Amino acid sequence: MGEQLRISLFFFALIVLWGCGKDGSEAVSEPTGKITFQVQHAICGEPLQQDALIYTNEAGNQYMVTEVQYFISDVTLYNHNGTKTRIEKWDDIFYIDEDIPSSKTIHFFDPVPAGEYDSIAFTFGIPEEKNCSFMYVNPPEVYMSWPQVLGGGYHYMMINGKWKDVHGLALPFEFHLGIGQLYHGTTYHTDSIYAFVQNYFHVSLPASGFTLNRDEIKTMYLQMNIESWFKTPHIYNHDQWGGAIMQNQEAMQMVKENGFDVFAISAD
Amino acid sequence: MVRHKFGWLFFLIVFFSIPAFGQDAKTEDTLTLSEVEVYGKRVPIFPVTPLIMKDYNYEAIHDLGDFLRQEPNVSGIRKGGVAIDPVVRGFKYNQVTVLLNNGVKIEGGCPNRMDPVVSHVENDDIRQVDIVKGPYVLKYGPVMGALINIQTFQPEQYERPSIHGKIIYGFETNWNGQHEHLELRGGNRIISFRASGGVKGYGSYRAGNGELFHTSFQKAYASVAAGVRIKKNQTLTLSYLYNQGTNVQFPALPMDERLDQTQNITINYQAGNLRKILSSLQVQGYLSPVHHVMDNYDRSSSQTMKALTTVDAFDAGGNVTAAWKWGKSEWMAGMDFEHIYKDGEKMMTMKMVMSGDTFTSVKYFNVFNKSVWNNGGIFGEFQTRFGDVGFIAALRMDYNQANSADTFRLVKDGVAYFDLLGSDFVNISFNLGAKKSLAPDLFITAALGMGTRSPSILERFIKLMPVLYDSYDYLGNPQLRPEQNIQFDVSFDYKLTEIGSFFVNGFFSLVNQYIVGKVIPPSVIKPSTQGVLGVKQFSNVDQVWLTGFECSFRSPDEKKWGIRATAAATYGTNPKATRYLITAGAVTGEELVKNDPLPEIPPLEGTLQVYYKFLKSSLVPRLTTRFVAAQNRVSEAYGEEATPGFVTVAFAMNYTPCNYFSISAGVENIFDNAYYEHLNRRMVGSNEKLFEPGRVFYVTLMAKF
Repeated sequence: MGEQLRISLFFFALIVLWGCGKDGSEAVSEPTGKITFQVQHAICGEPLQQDALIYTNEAGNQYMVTEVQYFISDVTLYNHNGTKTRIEKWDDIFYIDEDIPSSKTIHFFDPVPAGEYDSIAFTFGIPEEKNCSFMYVNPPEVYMSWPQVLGGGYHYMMINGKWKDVHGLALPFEFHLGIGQLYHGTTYHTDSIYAFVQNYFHVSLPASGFTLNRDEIKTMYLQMNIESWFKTPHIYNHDQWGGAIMQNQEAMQMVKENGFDVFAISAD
Repeated sequence: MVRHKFGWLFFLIVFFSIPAFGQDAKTEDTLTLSEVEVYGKRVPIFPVTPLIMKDYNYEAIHDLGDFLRQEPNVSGIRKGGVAIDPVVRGFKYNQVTVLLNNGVKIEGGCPNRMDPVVSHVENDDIRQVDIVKGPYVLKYGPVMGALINIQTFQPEQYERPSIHGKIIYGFETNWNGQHEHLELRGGNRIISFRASGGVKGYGSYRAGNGELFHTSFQKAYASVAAGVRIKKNQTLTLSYLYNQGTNVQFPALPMDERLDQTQNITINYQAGNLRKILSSLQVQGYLSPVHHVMDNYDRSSSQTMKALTTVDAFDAGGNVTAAWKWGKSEWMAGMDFEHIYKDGEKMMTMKMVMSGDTFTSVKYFNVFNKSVWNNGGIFGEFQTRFGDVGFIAALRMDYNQANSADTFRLVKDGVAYFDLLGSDFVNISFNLGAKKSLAPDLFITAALGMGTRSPSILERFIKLMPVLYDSYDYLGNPQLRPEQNIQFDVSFDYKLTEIGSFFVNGFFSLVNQYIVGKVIPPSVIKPSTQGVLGVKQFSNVDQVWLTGFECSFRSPDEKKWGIRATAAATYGTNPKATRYLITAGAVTGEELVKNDPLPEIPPLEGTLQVYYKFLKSSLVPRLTTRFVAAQNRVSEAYGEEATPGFVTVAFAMNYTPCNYFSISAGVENIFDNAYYEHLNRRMVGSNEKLFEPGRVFYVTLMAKF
């Protein structure tokens, strides 16, 4: 083999190897981390004790809580640089149930760009365009179904329990929030429904700024302060509204307006 | 319904064009014309396994899919007591072409394949089943992985007016199964007929561990056929088939079959030696409507939500095939067409009791919405000999088109999951084969084939039904691309007159655009079936490969004693599979799995059968042992679980004292082993597999005249 041929082959091999090793189209990946929510339920700063008639709300109702179940959706992270990241690539609606420990740990699938974040917000409940009947067919979410005749979709929240009425009787309450109805007349007959009201609402978490580093998995503690549902700005009185409110938009409106300060968040 | 006209039109064209093929020809002695006889002298180059049903009359066959599992490298997916779906060398569902009588097709109505094609025909009506393991027969339509050609009994002409009949009664313990079959046939030199019908009723069976599996089913079926001998070398046959399944339980599916009604009308014209030009001609047209209803009313899931699904499927088509000789070569050419229409709806009902009031919510959605699938193809085949080498080559071209009336669209963040509905493809398939004698009675066969199939109507348009094994709802993909199998086979046949015949075959398949399910995020779409984990959409992946072997030994039939032994295995690999990481029940990430075994591949297995012929072969006891290895080569990406190996032993005896009566009796799974096949589906709502039946005693009585 001639010298020239050997040199030519050597350079040819170099070019081929260089071409194989480098991919000019390879994208530079953005540094990301991940977020996890650990959800806690509390009353007056203490972890919730279910089935214990030991709590008193702002209206003076003595009450206990047996179940806490709700949806949050469209979790959004506001970056200090003005951009925002919405958690929606894999899942965008999250079910939380006090009786299902796994539901109280939310591992968000979406990679989150590393950086400084000013705040976190989410929708309490499910936005109208996403709240479709029969979209959940499996327990436990399927048990949150909201009757189609009352607006369809799913309950945003079910807090069930008992309160002592003015006669000292422990009566069940279903503190439920979902799509409300407006009725002609003074009865709640489904034939007299003339409009529906979307009762989901936006929650902006106070003091929720954080820093996320590359490849970090940041755990944040989201706490629902249950007593807040019954105060600010409205004092909610079980004796006034009774056991079930899913066909009472006036009561659900009060719950909706009381929800703005129910949640708090903290990081490690 | 407008699209139905396509099928009817084709049927009518075929029907009324038949007289045009009526030609004078020389007189022949043969009264019955069937394709086997017409093409029987061709050199069999590609390996075709013919299963002659009368050779298996010692068995209790209650399901054709179950019966086919005894063939090496043919397995089945069990979801209940019947309707076992055949898997050939790891190819399954629409990768395996199943047809009746050399060209007739039936599209099952059920998206969960409660009614695969093999379930629409009862074994007592079947004369023979041919299995071709590879894309080596292209004259019946596109074949990708394998072909199963079920040939039913047809009317036969008789020299003198005759009438014959057959009555069969069978009983099986364990699930207290009974079947009754009645058949009448007769005719003369010109006309002939055959009518048959029967019922089957089986209860739930217990596995070897005593566990009861709810697998009961009832079936009723009937068929009538009439033939006329137009000329000595030409016959015209018109046949009608009806098969009904009711209350068929599928414990490994979310629903049970409430009703399945299958009908088939076929008209078939066959001729031989037409004007010394054509050695044979077949013209065939058929219509196959299927009505399928299934629900979850007997399941605990119906307490929270009732689901009822109704699907109507309609398959129509036909084919024209002509063969002729040219010098030392044999040629064959033809064309075929298939039209499938499918429409189905799922109704979900939920009752809620809230604050003392009962509310009922009902939702309807289409699982198919007037979906249409058309396929037309032409083919040519050439066969000749070069010295001691037999050679065959075939080429096929298909045009495939599909569309749907769906109004459903799924587009999110710029990704069109379900948007443009129409698609069409031109597919090419071919094969080449050669067979050479290496020594007296020693042959080597080599075959190369490429089979291309367009995505099925289900893979394109199904909406949210758990149609595969992995507990996901599946969404069709209208823009799915055709799947292509390039396969190479090499086999050796060796026959020793005194000892028996040996057969060894090895194969390698490279499958391009392999169709698998890929998970869709729940933020895009959520499942609609209770108990499933999420939604997957049919998608193409670059390439997978399968390889394996079959070998067999068979002692000479002339001997009183006999041994039959088989062994087979398939290995499948997906070079790049995606595994989803699940934390606390939710998908939290995904990772690449290299060289992941393909799911639903049966393990190595072997069968050994010994028998002895007493009383001039009228009494034949047989002992059959089946050895199945553990399947530890399972798909990590699909969360498949390993299956332990097992051994089963069966004993059967057939006694035929005269031509008019026979009795078969035996016991399957003698040692009452608790076992399940690797391909058996998991029970709904658990990780436990559906077990095979425990010990079963059976008896079958047959009288004929």
